[in-house]
Amino acid sequence: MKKIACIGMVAVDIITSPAPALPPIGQCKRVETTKMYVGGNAANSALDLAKLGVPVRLSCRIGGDSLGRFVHSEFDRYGVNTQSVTIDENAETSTSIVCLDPVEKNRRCLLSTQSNDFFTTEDISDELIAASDIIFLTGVCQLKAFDGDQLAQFAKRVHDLGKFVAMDVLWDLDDVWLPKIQESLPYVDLFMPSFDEVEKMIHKTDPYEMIKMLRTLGPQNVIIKLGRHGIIVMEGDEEPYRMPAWDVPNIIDTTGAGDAFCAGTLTGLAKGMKLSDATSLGQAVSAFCIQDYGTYAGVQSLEQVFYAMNSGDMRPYSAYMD
Amino acid sequence: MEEKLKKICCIGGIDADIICSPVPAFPPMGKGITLDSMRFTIGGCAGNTALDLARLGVGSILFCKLGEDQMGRSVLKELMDVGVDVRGIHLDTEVETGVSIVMVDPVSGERTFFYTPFSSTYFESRDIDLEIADESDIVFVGGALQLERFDGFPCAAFLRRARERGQITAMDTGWDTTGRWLPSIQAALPFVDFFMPSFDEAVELAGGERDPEAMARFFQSLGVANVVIKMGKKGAFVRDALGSMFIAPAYSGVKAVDTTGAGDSFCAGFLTGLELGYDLKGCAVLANAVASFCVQAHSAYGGIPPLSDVLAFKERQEHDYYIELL
Repeated sequence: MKKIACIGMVAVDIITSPAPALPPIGQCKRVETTKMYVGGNAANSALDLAKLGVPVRLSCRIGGDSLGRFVHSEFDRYGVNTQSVTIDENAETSTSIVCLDPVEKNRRCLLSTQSNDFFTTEDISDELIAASDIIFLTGVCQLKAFDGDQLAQFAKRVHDLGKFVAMDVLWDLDDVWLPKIQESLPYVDLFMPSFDEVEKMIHKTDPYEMIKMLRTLGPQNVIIKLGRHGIIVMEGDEEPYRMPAWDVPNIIDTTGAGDAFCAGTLTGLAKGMKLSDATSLGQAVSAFCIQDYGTYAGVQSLEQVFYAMNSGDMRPYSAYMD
Repeated sequence: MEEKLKKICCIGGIDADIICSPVPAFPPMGKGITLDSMRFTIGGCAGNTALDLARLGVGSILFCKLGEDQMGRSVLKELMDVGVDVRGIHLDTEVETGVSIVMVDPVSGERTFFYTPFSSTYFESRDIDLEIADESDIVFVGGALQLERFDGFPCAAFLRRARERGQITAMDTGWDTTGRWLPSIQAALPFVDFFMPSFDEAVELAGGERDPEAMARFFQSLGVANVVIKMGKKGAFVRDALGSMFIAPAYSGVKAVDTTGAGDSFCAGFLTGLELGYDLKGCAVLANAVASFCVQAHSAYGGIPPLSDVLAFKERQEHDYYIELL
């Protein structure tokens, strides 16, 4: 099985619910639950892979504070290889407070980005590059020092070394988007953004138009994640095709569903599956993810995912073409 | 000198705080806003006092209630890293650690909170390992009025036993959100050597009385031996068991940037004085000195230095004084 490395964003996610509005100044609002998890795309995907039972290396940058120690302890707990995780004594670990609105089934976030702001190519060890076949760059667009030039140079470097390069982006708080990633896209084998992100990038709203345009920017294969509407896939220059998401009757928390999809899809590719089968596995892992709070709590072992897929219990979400 | 000091046993309230700053407004639906800082820190009277004592180098043993969850494990790790003796703390699988998300408004500097109920409300007598607690000269209940299952008779039984074994007993109260106040803790007061509420808490407990001497007489009529009323910038009012009174003003010229935990640090300093064998005036002055360090830092306990630094500060400062009251 091919070896996977996740590189990029890490954070602490503190999920609190119900929190639909800010309390008036000086006042308290009692909430039902406040839970803390590791978050951030690279960390999420790495933890998903570890929970699936797939060996994974992670490269990211955390602070030398209590929250950073919590993150590191979670990596150790699940067996993520942290040889390329930098501990920055001078930075606070990036943290998101996710305020869930259970009525609207949506969320709002308070973010602090310190440790991620200092993530650079220097944090990616040569050992990680040498030991990995699939390099997954994720959380791009919120890595202030890495986005743009460093990302492009690194993508080219690992591409030239014969690695399979995958990439996912994150919401660009600076609203710059394409210039941060354009130069790196020609070196990307599999580009997996979400619908909302693509809309911001290229200002299109039809998935077929979107995916064809992204392909012209250089990535070999493109998948656009469409949430409950499944995915649209374009392999090389072939005609794009849609695939549904799995139907999950009781969705607890959709945070991290995209990262789980990526982890599952890369697992399939690492096992030598063709892309359309790998994405099916990705969708299944995503379905497990959203049945629990946090980004990785719901993910189970590969055996359990395959069992669920083959048992006939998992049904496609039927209204997905809307 | 410090080698002879025994760790001080702290019992009671603790929670996890995430301090977020600045938060001018709630983000739009589905989106995020970036802040300058998000810090994990420990809150709660017993927790903070234990942390202050550990940072001073005096040492503390802590008994409290934490959940067996991410927050609980992080709190425990932080306690251990700062040097608090946590042998007596066992994470409880049935309880969720209390967490407050504190959002600081940039314009007013005021705070607003999302909070989960404190796990401290589940703290009980059997969470105290008496064999470990007996290692101390002083036992301190921090956050009385917020310890639903411990306040009152269970606390009374514990403090009476401590007294019988020759230990000094002290108690600090927290704000009572239930509005019950005095009846919740009255049973324990006859066994308290040093009762150390804040002024606002004392007013509520004394049924609206605002004169410190009258408040102190009232608490002593209920059985408390010595009363120490913490008055923020004004320092502390003390009435001892024999009726002698004095005010120990806070150190002047101290620029306060964050008063979170000042009361707890005052308690830590006062208890240290007792452990060192100081008289009450010495204890109050040392307490004010420790509190000075607390308020000059953006942290409830991070700004507390080793005891030797605090003593050096006391030597340097001119107004090492108190006002005797007749």
